[in-house]
Amino acid sequence: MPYILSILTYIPLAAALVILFIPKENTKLIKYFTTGVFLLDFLLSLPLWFGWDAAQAVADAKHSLWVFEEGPHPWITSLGAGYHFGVDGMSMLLVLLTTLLGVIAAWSSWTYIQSREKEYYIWLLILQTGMLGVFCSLDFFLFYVFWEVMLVPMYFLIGIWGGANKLYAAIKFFLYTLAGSVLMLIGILVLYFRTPVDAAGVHSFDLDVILQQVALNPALQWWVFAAFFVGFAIKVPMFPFHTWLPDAHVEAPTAGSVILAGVLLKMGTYGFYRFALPILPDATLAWLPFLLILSIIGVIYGAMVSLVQKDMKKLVAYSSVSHLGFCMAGLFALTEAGIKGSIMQMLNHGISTGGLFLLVGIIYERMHTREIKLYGGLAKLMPVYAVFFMIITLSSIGLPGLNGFIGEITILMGAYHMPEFLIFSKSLVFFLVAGMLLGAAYMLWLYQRVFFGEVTNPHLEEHVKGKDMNGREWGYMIPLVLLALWIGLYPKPVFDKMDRSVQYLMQRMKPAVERVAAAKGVPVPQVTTPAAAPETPGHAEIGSHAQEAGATHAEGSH
Amino acid sequence: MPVLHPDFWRLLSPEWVLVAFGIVFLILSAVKGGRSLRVGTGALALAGFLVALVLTLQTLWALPPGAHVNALSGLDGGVGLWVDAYSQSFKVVFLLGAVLATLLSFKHLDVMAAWTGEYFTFMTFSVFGMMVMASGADLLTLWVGLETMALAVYVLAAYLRRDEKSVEGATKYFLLGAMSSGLYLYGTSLIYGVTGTVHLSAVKAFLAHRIQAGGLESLGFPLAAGVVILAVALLFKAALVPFHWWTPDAYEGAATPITGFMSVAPKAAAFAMAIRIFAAGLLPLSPTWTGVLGVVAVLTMIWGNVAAMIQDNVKRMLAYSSIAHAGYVLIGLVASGRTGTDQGIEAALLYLLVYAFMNLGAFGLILYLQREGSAGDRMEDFDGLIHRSPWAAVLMIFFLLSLGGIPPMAGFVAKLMIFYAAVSASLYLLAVVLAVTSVVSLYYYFRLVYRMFLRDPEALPAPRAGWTLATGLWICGAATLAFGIYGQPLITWAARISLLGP
Repeated sequence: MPYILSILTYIPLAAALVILFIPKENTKLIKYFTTGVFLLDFLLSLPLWFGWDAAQAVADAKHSLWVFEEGPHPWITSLGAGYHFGVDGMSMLLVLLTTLLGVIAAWSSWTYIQSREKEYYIWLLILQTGMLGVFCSLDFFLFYVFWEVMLVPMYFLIGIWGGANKLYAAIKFFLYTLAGSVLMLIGILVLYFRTPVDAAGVHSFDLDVILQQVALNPALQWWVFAAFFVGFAIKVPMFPFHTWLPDAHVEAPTAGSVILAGVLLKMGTYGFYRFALPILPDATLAWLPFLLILSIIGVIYGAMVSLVQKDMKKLVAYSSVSHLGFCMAGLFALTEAGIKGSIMQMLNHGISTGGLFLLVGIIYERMHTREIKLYGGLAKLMPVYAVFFMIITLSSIGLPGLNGFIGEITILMGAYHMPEFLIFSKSLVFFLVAGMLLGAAYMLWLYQRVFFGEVTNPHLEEHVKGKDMNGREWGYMIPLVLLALWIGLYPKPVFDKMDRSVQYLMQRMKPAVERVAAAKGVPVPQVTTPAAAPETPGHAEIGSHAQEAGATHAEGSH
Repeated sequence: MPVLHPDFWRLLSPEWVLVAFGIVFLILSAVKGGRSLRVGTGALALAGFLVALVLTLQTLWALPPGAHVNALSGLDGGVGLWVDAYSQSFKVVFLLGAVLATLLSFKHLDVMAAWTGEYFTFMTFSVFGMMVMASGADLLTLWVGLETMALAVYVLAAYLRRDEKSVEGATKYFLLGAMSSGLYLYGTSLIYGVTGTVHLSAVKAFLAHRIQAGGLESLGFPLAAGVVILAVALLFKAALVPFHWWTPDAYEGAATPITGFMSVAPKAAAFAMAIRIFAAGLLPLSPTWTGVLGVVAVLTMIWGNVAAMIQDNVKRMLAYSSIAHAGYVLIGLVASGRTGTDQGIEAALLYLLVYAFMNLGAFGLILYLQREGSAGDRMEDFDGLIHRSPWAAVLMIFFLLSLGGIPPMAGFVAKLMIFYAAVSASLYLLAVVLAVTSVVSLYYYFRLVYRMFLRDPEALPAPRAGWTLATGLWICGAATLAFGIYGQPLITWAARISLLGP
């Protein structure tokens, strides 16, 4: 289907406009309609997965990395901003994750949201448009517009339907991310001013132009990377920019947390993957030790703080800091396995942590508290719930056979094979393993305290007895469990999809890695395995572009 | 003898239309009448501004690219009034501000049961003055325009003459304004003394010649003093830090539609005049004045935004925010002074137009909340607006996001153009201050968002708009969103001016 990405992106927005005209008393219709629209959006996104190979062949014929590409169409011509959509294997997976979590978020909100439903579903829909737009945009101007569009709905989701301290959390989230994105905008404009001008003397925001025709000297790259780093690291969030996250997560309604953890945090990792690394390879290498240290601190710190939490949701929130640290470490390992594992872990985190937030929301709706010490012995009262919680917990801590294991083990392999001259030492792997162990500790301890032992809280029995998971809750948890099992048992199709995208990133990084190797006098490493080397002419061409850019740039820097 | 251009009447037709309408209002102000007279006068004013707007656009499109037509020669044979893309584009901003302010006025005049004859008389004459400020080619013609505008606006600011705040604010405005007019004349006389002419093009040629000949230093103090004093006078008019002290009081005290009007049209006119003088007349001295104005821009952005954070009255908050926005616009002038191209001026013009839509929209919301005995400008008046009037709350979100420069609103495109001009002129510090203070500004704009969406409503009567106010609000909202999504037409429009060069 032509323009499938635009259709996916704007369906939620159009639905939000429709809801404006539904009377707000008619909450039932609004709920059904919104969930139906999300479901439709999800179903429409499935062809991305099933039609991938055919679409990929079309893209290869055009020598382009971008699949389902739209445009570039002229938009604000005086600024060189165009309408350019497209995905590669990596962003396609994130698009699917977004559309799936959209359905789940809307469905899980039916009973949780008891006031101002009309506004709630409108903001949820607008947020969906913003997120899909971010993943599909291949023009920096367009990307920035969608990036900012996401802010306002999330502000309201936290600020209106959040918990006790919602106002503080909402404005903190807003100003933190805004400050980051303004710095990012400055970085974008520096790149923009380095693009060649066209006949009318206009620069270009187009990603292809920037990727292929902008070569910055390492000093300037360093600064642009700094600007991107702040913008994306706040979103990830990397230590020490994470302080907004626990506040936002704890106060947000369940669906807000699911979207926040499942999709919004991926914006940061996506930003690094799509923009910072391929456009600024030399700066990435210069920043690499620092980035890896921050990632590892995030892994360990997030896990240790999770251990001492008294509030279930806060525990899950801090575990996100730890998991995202894992993703970043895998990405910055700059090996094929590390990057693939990182992408896999992004999806896994969406599934497991999204699932955990949903489960915490389910019990919160019954007990109206998330205080861990008020629970205990819940397995006797809600056996089905206990089983679901166990599966998702195991998926989160990386038990073999479930999705978390696949992501983490791939990241560990990638980190182990990292070229040693890029980083201080391989002890990195040790810290990551320690983070995994801590992860098992805090999750299993949580499970023990909540589900095992005797029922100590008399209110517990009265509130949850005979109220195990209902059909709707089964309905939105089952897909997550199935996905966790599927990825855990047979991840190959998912890895295959991201293959070309990762190859491309490795190609972009290669000249910079070689330069560092030459400067340090070590033999040039075999970054890509020969079997996985690009076969299509399209990739060879993109690769040679990258090398040309690298070559000019090497001359410029001498 | 003054020499008229053969097409004199057509070229200046917007001006004549306004003068004719102004005289009609002057006569009507002597007639006693009730509500129907008030509404009739308002409708007539709306028609007058619209006709002038159409005529202005017509002359703008009829001008060949790059053309500067001398519509009226002065007594000494020099150029008196330019009709060029620059002047006509600025006139569009003034007239648009006047049209929107008129639409916003009906409800206010009804609630206050005010007398309207003078109201529209002075509004018309002030716009006429502004148009002269955009067209004037010499320092004295510009001064005549400035005084025509200023005297009319003093009266408008004091329009609520039984209201203490209004009188206090207007008095401050008048005293400081009168002083700055005096300063302007003094600066003009010094420049005339040094250069022997008041014509901007002649001043420019003289200065360029002296710089080439290497004798600028011998002009020394009188020239420097003249430029500085002239600059101070213009900074007063445009309400830039540190010459902004009259603004919060005058804005808070004036009737709300007038405040909106003052923050848009006279401010744009002050910029039109300042840009003509500095960028066209004093361009050879730009290495000096870009530095000074750059510092002023930084101070203005920081002070305006920081002071706005602690305001509890919405009109006062918007007053400080309008000071900050003037700082953004000033960056455009500094950038053009640096590069000698029109790029910065185009950005400034675009910003002023977009600002007219978004700021008058925000003032329109205050008017919407106005009722008997309350101006609607307390923070509490916005509490829970989403429950009382969802559409109004949504429109206000548009205006506030746009003022804060968040896409997909027009304010983002406008701010980006300023940013673009600053970076093109290597004014990195100004660009960074612009970006950082924009984040700060969202803090106080979101105080209103918080009031509207996150607080429970006070037990207030449901606000009512009346169809004129509603039309005004919807026009502002639609323009704010539409130009945010597709800003190309505005950029094309602004690119027609050719004051300096390509």
